[in-house]
Amino acid sequence: MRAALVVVALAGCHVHRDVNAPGVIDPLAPPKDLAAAQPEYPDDPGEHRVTLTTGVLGGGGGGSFEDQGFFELAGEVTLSYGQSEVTHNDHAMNLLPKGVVLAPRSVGLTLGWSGLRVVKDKLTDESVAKTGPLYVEGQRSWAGFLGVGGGVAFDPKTGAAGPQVQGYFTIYYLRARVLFGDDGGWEIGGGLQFKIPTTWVWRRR
Amino acid sequence: MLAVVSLISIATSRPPPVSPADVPMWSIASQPLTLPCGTAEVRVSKSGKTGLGITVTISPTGSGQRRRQVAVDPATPSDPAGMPSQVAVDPATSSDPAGMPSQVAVDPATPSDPAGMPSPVAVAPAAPANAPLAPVAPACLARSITATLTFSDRSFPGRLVTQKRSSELQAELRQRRAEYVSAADLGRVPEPSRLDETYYYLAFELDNEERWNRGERTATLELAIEAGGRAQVWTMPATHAYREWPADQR
Repeated sequence: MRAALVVVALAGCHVHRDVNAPGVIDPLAPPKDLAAAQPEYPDDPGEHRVTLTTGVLGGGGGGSFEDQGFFELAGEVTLSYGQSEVTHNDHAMNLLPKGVVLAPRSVGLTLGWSGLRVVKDKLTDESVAKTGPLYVEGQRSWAGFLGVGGGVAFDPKTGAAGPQVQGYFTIYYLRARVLFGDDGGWEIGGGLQFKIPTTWVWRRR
Repeated sequence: MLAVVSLISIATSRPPPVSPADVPMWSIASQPLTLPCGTAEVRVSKSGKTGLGITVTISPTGSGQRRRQVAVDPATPSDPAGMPSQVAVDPATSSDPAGMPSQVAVDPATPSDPAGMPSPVAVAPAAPANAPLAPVAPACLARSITATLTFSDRSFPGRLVTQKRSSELQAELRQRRAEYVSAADLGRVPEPSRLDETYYYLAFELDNEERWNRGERTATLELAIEAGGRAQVWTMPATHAYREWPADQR
């Protein structure tokens, strides 16, 4: 039981809101089979999907900030919205009836922090841990597997700020940023991401 | 490797059919309603954002026991029992502002029975496979049928959209099937269990989605039927709730 809960938690889930739940019909049009014992299944209005995705990104990179490269662990939270022409069907999700439901296309906003960065100290040649920039990005995603984003990054320690772009495909991501300021510079990195989506779904009007 | 995958694929049985997504539907708690000339059953046929539709099925007493195939004169445009296949709409006489009659009137000149019961039609030993089947037992026809759906704040009248005899439905089904199957297969069209039923479809146009969103999911259906020389009124609770569907639906 505990293992099943862990699997569900790691896989993400969706939550139903029952607003606008009735289907689409024309009540003045008689049913196709007037003698049918079963009512007619109404047409599908599609549904709205709002997804809150949290996760971590781990990888490395290099640039003018760190001559010898860096390893990084970042955290991200993304709130995205999209619509689906087809209402999802829990009955068709045999393994995880409350599993992940993502919009075919969505737009979102991501807040992230390159929270842990391991670099080589130039003087001692030893590894030291430090924090990296915060960032906010607008994001466009396709089926949750492919996405691109762009925004700004800001390093609270140095006050440097500048543009950042990021792209991902499934579990892989690439990121580039340029920071302007006294301790400005550029860097390119990439790695693996692990994210858990929770989606709220409700039908369209 | 490919062979192994192919074998596994062939050996895997097809997945069972899946039920469609649950959607809210109105339902009516009702027992068969007893009429002087038969029984009436009411069920929800359609339910959605802009309203719902109910079908009232009236079966004559003893329905299903006197069923026979009969020959129908193809020159006769309407049902030999004098039943119109569609409700005639006369906006001038309609009390409904939308121009739809809230009642259907059966031609009083046609039936000889003072209760509005039409006479049985002529019986023949056999009928062509594609001929419409007509009942032998006299149908229990409603002289009028009205319905009202009442919420806590207001009521919505039902509009009689169409009424049909089961013989008409059977003929229509055969006609539709004839467009897809060979003439030899027409004889395999399943017959309805009772050929002398009459179906009345009534539509309710209302702000169903708004009421669902506000949590107003119960109402009262008032159904008035005049049949067999007597007018009767029934009141029954109606509930709007999620419904599970069989896998073969949709």
